Amino acid sequence: MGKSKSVWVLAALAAVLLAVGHYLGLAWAPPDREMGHVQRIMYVHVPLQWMAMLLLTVNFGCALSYLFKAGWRTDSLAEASAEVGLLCATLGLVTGAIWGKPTWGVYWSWDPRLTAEAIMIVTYTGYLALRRFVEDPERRAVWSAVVGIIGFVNLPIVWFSVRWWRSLHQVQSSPRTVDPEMTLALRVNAFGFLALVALLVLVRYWIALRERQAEVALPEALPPAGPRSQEVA
Amino acid sequence: MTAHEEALAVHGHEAARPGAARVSLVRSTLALLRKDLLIEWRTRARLNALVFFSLATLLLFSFALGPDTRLLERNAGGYLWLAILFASVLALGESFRVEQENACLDGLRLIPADARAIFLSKALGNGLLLVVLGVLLVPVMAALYGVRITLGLLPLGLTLLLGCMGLSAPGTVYASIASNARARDVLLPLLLFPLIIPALLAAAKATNLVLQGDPMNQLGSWLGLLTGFNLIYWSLGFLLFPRVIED
Amino acid sequence: MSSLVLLAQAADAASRVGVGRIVGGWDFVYAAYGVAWAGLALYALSLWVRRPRGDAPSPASVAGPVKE
Repeated sequence: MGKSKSVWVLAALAAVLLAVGHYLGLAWAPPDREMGHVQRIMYVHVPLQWMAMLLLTVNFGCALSYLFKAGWRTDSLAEASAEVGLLCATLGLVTGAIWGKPTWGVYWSWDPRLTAEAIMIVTYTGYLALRRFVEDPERRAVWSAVVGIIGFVNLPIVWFSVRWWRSLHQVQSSPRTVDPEMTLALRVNAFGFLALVALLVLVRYWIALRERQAEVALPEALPPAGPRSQEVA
Repeated sequence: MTAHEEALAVHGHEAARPGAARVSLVRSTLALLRKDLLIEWRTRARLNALVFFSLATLLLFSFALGPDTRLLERNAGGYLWLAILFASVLALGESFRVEQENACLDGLRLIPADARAIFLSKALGNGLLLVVLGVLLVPVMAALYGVRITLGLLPLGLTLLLGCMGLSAPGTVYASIASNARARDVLLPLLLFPLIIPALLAAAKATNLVLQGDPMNQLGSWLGLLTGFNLIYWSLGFLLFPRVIED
Repeated sequence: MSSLVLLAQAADAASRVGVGRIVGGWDFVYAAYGVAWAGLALYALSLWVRRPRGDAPSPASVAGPVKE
């Protein structure tokens, strides 16, 4: 299977891309006309948010998939993507707040994007708490799939309602043109974080899969797993 | 009630046999709803406790947020919906605890009725309970916070209905899950609160508009958001609940 | 008429000054990057601590939930 091989390839890829990306972002790209060097936080904040959204979409896919065809691999990937996704969302939120302080004067200004992200974080914290509080592995898998689906469907609803809620009170920030140099730095960093996040998810997936095995350990004498019984229509 | 009595009560002797004819979804839902409402009416314990809890919550807001009557008046809708939300966590938790005694949920599953009927009846029952609670709270809120119902009772009633139904559909799904997990009293609010934030926003905003007047005609949009929320979560609950309670 | 023109010129000049650069923003940059990398490193450490040891999984136990 080449477990350690994939780990090393991803690690090397991440290291190279992130090293180059950080150089580009911190030294090469020009400072912003208005925000100065503070704007360089974007090169770590935006990729983290993108990764969070990507991973939670993966979690949604796994949740859907599990309800159609149960499998421990799907469940383990769901767990891994939720955990790493939650990490990225939290780091994205914190870096966003740090960016906010010099930009708006406050750490928290109910900006729709950060508010929606905060709600997303609480949602998936609940998801992980549910996984921890259910002992039976099958029920845990089904129930977290249900919660994962409902939570993900909620994200666009939250996004629109919070944006609407805020737009009645707050002037939207003016649109800004982005330098092509900034775009390049952002892209390189984004791919670097993608490789890093893929690595983290892969390892976390193996850990989850191993835990499932231990929980469902079958004596060698029993025949292999049969098909699931027909569900109530 | 034991599991067997449960099955008998809902469908009579014939239907309690395995292999009996499938009963229509609407009939099962109404039968189950009638059972829940009957139990509720006979004891009334749950409704009484919820009413007193919510009244106390409204009172607490007055004390915690200061005697500035203008502030209380401006945010009355928000306080009302927070009180309903906190009460709903108790109500939802209770609605599945009732079934766990004597394994009644297993009895329900034995009936040749859809698991989706269980969802519809539970969610409707919980929603109705919250609406009744809301109706009882409105005069108290009006008195405590000194508000007038500027736009009239019909928009207020509609907001109450949409908001409470919007809370109860996902709440029923999550209550069913949480009632079987560890730390169930913490898990239900943890799962439910982030989910219903859009409904809470919309309901509170709509209520404040009903109470204070709506010069810019925003009420329709907020009620539209609530309606959309209801449509999405009733559908999702309908589809997913059978997976939650299957063995 | 000339005062209007002067006013217009002054307004034009003022609009081009802009918000101005935020001075000394590097502290925030260090803080943000530091927090992000600290978080990632701690998580990676937690994965290392939890890393799987032992033999490869048997096919049966990897397949899926079993009905008895």
